[in-house]
Amino acid sequence: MSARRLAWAWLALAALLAIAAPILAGDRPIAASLDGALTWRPSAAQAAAMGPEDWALWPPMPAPGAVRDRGVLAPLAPPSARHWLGTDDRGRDVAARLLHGARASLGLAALAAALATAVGLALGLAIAGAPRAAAGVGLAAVDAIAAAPALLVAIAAGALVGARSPLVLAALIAVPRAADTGRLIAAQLASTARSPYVLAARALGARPARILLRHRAPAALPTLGVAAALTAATAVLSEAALAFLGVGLAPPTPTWGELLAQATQHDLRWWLALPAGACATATAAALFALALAHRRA
Amino acid sequence: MTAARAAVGLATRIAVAWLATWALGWGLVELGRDPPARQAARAAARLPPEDGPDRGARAAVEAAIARELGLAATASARWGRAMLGAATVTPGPSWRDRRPAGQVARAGAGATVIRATLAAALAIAIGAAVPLAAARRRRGGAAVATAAAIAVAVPTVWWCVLALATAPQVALTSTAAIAILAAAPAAAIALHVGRAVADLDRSPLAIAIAARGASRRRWHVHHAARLVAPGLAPLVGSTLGFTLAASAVVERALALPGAGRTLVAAAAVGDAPVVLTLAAACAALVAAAAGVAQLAVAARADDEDR
Repeated sequence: MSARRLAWAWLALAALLAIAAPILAGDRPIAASLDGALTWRPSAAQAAAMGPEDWALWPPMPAPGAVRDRGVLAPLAPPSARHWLGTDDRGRDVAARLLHGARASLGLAALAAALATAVGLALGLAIAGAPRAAAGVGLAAVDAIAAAPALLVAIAAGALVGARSPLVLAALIAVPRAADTGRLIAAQLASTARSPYVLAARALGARPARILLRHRAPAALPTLGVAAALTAATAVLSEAALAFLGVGLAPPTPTWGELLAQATQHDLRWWLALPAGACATATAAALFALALAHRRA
Repeated sequence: MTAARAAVGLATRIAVAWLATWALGWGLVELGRDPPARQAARAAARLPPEDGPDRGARAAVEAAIARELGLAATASARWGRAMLGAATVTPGPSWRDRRPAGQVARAGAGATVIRATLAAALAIAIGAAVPLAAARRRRGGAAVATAAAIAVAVPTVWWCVLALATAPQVALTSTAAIAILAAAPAAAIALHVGRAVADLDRSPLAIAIAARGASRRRWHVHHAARLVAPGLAPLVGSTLGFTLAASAVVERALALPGAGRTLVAAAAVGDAPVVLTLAAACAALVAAAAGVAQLAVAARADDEDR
């Protein structure tokens, strides 16, 4: 299997597990027969009021925030039949937190990639369509912002803004990447300025804005794909680092970085460190591999 | 380019990086959810609880702190004052303990800068040398590219966890920190250099040199390396930026003193003057490294032109 297919396969699996996380790990039944009627995802109250004739299909893992297992606290328990990947320092199921962590980490990566791509495309188009002097100033500005390390920007700006919501965190991670994307798009568009099809469109009387949007912009789409994949990979790595430093998403949101942070605080329990680190690495590697394959193509 | 002009250009870049970080950063402070006086009161842990019995106490504490730190003026006046402080390199007191922010930021900064600089140099050396060595072997380049693509994707936290798990505790000194910091940038540079060397191997120049009987080793060491070197200049600044930022993670994981830990501690309580001083200092350092690397490449190009 080629690296590209392997990367797509892993990302598809991770996305599928992230989407299905509430079904696979939760405190509500997947389905139940209540008074003879089959109910899909009944509420907790409905599940609690089940009669002797009713039955329910429960998720294989408890909710990520559940701290008690049959009324007993079991912090830092090793993997067992009940807890496939053990429990964390508060007795919460690690496998459930890993699944729900995929939701947080992949969601943040997708959000950051979307923001950086949209802003970067707008920046690139603005620079490509601006007069030469203004384009020079714009390029110098995006160069300066793109040189800023994403992690440092996220730590500092997150502290200054004082908010730790997913949208704010994704925006902070996306800022330097948007500048980098804008720079790449501007360079790609500049290379098309003297292309025969652009000259032909100009000779036919097309307006500069139309030429930019209809004829030159499509040439930058492959670059946009590469930049989006790189941004998503950076976001996964940055999220892990920010959660480890305690300045990531507000607790008790489960994330891969939060599990890694717990591992360093509790004698490197392997069931905390290994799955979360492997998931973050595999996801970032898959995204980098896609970006590389896209660039080669 | 004269030396004086180069020095002025470099100083301008550093000053712009320092001031721009302050300008944008203080803008974020003003745009934050709470007014700066409340943020400062919270950083100093002097803000009474929101649901406390005396509702007026909160406002009184905020007003006292605003007077003490000069935060009672309008937003534009506060911004101007912060910029004046940045321009004169006197960032004002820390919101947490009233010590000068510069003094707080300097604690452990030397160790962090030395570690990050050494790590960046190591990353560039490894990242440039490994693909050049591997390119001389059949399929060596592909193996290095695969290893580098995986290494670059490993979170710095996981490098730390792996080091803590595998190395004896005594070995986890600054040397281990440098190695961990250098890991990801070295892999990224290896990917960059490897791709450039692979492209050069197919160039007419490579074919012409091979036709004249030069060995693959001679081609890579004497020709390809020299052609690839200028392309590394833009990576110097970003590599140092990465190692400086990642030092926060490494210092926390390995319990080492340094500016990274100071930054995270200040960020956790929202101590804006210290956060901004450290962030602006990092931006200035990255700008300086990038500028010096570009000047070195330009000077070499000038020499070759002559």
